[in-house]
Amino acid sequence: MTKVLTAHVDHPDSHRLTHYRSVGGYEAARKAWTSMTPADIIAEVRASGLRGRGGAGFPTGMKWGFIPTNSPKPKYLVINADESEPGTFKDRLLIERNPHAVLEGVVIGARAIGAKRAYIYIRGEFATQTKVLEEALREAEEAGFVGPNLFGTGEGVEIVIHRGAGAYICGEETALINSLEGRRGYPRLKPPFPATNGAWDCPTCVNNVETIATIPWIVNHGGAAYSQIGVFEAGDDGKPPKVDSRGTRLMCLSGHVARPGVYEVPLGISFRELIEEYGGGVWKGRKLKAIIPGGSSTPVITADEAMGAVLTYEDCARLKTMFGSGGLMVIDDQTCMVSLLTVLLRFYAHESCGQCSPCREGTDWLYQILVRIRDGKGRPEDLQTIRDLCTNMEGRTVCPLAAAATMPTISYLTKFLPEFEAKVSAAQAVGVH
Amino acid sequence: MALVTINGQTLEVPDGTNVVEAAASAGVDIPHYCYHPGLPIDGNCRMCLVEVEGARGPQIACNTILRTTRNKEGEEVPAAVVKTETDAVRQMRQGVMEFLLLNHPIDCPVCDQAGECGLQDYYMEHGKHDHRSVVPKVEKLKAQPIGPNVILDQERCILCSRCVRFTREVTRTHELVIAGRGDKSRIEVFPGTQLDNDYATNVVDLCPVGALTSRDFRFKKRVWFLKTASSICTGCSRGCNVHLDHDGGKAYRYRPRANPDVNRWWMCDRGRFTYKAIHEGRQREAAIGGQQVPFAKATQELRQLLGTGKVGFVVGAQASLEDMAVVKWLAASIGGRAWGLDWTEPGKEDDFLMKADLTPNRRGFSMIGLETDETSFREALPALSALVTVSVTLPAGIAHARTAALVTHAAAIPDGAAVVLPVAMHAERHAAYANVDGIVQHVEPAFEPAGDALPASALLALQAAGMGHSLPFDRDGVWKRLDAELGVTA
Repeated sequence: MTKVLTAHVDHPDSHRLTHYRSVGGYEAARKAWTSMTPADIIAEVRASGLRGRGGAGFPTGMKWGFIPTNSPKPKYLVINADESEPGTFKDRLLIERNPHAVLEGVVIGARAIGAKRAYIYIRGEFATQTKVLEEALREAEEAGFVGPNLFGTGEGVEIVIHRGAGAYICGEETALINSLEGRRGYPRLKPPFPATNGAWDCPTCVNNVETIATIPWIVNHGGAAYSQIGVFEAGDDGKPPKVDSRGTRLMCLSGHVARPGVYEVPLGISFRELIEEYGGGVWKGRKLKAIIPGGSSTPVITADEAMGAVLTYEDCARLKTMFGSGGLMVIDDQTCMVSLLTVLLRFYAHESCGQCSPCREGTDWLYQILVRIRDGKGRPEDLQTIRDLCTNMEGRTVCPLAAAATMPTISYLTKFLPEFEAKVSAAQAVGVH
Repeated sequence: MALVTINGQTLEVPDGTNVVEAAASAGVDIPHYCYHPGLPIDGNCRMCLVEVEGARGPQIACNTILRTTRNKEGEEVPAAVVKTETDAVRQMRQGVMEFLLLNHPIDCPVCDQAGECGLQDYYMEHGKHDHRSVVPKVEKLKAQPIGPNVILDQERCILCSRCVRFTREVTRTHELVIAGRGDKSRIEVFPGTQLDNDYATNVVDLCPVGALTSRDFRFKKRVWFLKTASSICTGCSRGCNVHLDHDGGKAYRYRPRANPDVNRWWMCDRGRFTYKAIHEGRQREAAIGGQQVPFAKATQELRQLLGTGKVGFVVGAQASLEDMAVVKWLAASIGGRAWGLDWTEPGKEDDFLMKADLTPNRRGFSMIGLETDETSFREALPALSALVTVSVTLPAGIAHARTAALVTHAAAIPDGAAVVLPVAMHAERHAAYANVDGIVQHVEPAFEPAGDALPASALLALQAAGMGHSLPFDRDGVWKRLDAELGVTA
């Protein structure tokens, strides 16, 4: 099986330039800078079918194509390394074990969009990873793979590593840009979009770590080769493809699974294969109850749903959930879904930036209601209140953080309603008001 | 121009107009807290959510910007088809109100904002929901002075960030910030600073709720007792447009009144508190030789002085255009001379609204055609048979033995004035002032003049009438003649 990102990560020196060079590192960058035009690079990435791995799954080549070529302003490439979605730890692995692939991807991406400077905005809590990345950058700069004059072209790119300060919301690309600029990490109103008015009001492309680390492979092997991995089914008569889930993904297995960890898998394999073959099945011999497919903000799916599904954007959509960030959490049959949802909501209440009224007030209110239900003090009307709050929050805010709290909430309430109702009626039975 | 359809009605608005403003121009009110025409759009309150045809979900009207839109055939079509009065929109507004009031203390009985509060108004219009949270409210700082003029109550705040944006974008002084996250977010002054800039109190006007209140005004008056007159600030030559809020013959505060040509939405704190001069230190009664006398006795004395032959008049730049005009006409009628002079010490000037000239009507001197050469006045002074001062404080060294002083404030009475007559201020009469840019601005009277005071123009015109000269003494008469003689129109 082809490994695009993790072929060498088990080598003890995988993070060093010498090792990266020994497996052909920075040859893609050389190729991109010396024998490809920016348009060529974008065409290859388009052909690869690569979709952004941060969560939204937007086609990367198309995103690069949005950066205006005729703007007199400087252009910026920003790498979102603020990996904070609960259940997600793939970018951490890449930065720790394959940092040069990230840097090489940046060097290529910068050429593609015409950026003279790129920023890597790295999660504040990633202290070790920051050191590894900084060391890798130093190596690459010394070797001339990052800097003002690349491969004798007289042009180049400067890379700046910028540490966040511990806010989940700064993983939202416009909040990230605000934070990068030194402002409060509030998501921005859109339009305008970063492609035209991003960092310092200049054209800016924000890419996820995994996305950008995939680029060198695509340049080396060609977009067509990448698009052979995974699944693709063309649409009828020029319509959008029916299935467009190409390439590999880093899946972060966590929760009640025997062998948690990051697994690079081709898209299109089944959830069953991922959990049972790669992850060794549900831990302690227990049964699967449900999974969270793509980070804690994606709606939960039941064991039955999961076991009949494959790892594609389309199958996730069919199940009214999302592929998200690849943070797959396995939930065993001894888990109280009320408690689980309470824990998730605590996170979103804590991480709401507080900009928009519905999210600022709603996330904590949801959490407080769940705490009460979990603690056996639920009221019959609470479940309806939860549904109303979700309606009043979702889609009514600047960014999707509110939806990140409401989408899972509704899914738990829909799929595991009896557990919630049992908690509430037990409370009523003992006379809680 | 862009087309927009709002609730079925299509109208034309300038390119770049947002849907809040476009709707307002069609008489449709879209509720909003964070949007303010003088501040950058922030879109955080979510109160202005509306339905826009073809959009992905509800849109905030404040950030829905209308631009000329054409269809494939090149015909202009509406940039947006907006619905503001559907059940869905009503439900969204109620939802937002519920969130905004969730942690609000609802301490209206002790809140100075009650009666002019955005939360009260919109709750009655769009909320009317029952409180259904049993969770204790988030506790924050209350009644905290954050500068010489402003008090902050963090619990009442809905975090619309108008005040923060004001200090960031308008004054560029950056004293206010939002600290904390989620429902623990709160307005704070930046550590080590105070909200102490020349325009600080504008944040009180901007604040849609009771979070920022004026240290000067709070607890002085329940606002529902206040009446409002359209007036101007007479604190400097800018002439910022204000609402003069008053009750029972007393002025309680100025609030800026939007005028794009003069002060936009703002005013400075120096000017804002000049409303106090409407009552403090006023001369309320007539006097002769320092002794209070009946008004009629003093006017008799004034007429006597006016009949002495070579009468000089000095009118100051606090006087209105009407006062200046009548002074000029009266001087001409009785063979005297009239100067427009003012010795008010200059104050601070900045590149925004504050002007160094602390008088409201210096431009009026030339507009009316008064003599403004101080040297000629000083040379003529000894030969004058009498001197009449109108709303001016003479500097040391200028005096005349037979002086009649028409003053608003006792402090302006020259030493040894033969006769003193009280005159009305701008809050007490119809008057007009020409600001630094020559813009003529009218004020409407808020209440009756203090004590026996009369408008100087009327007072002098009445004396002229008593001497057989017919001068206009009311506003319409004065302006008719000004228009005819000088082409100065209201």
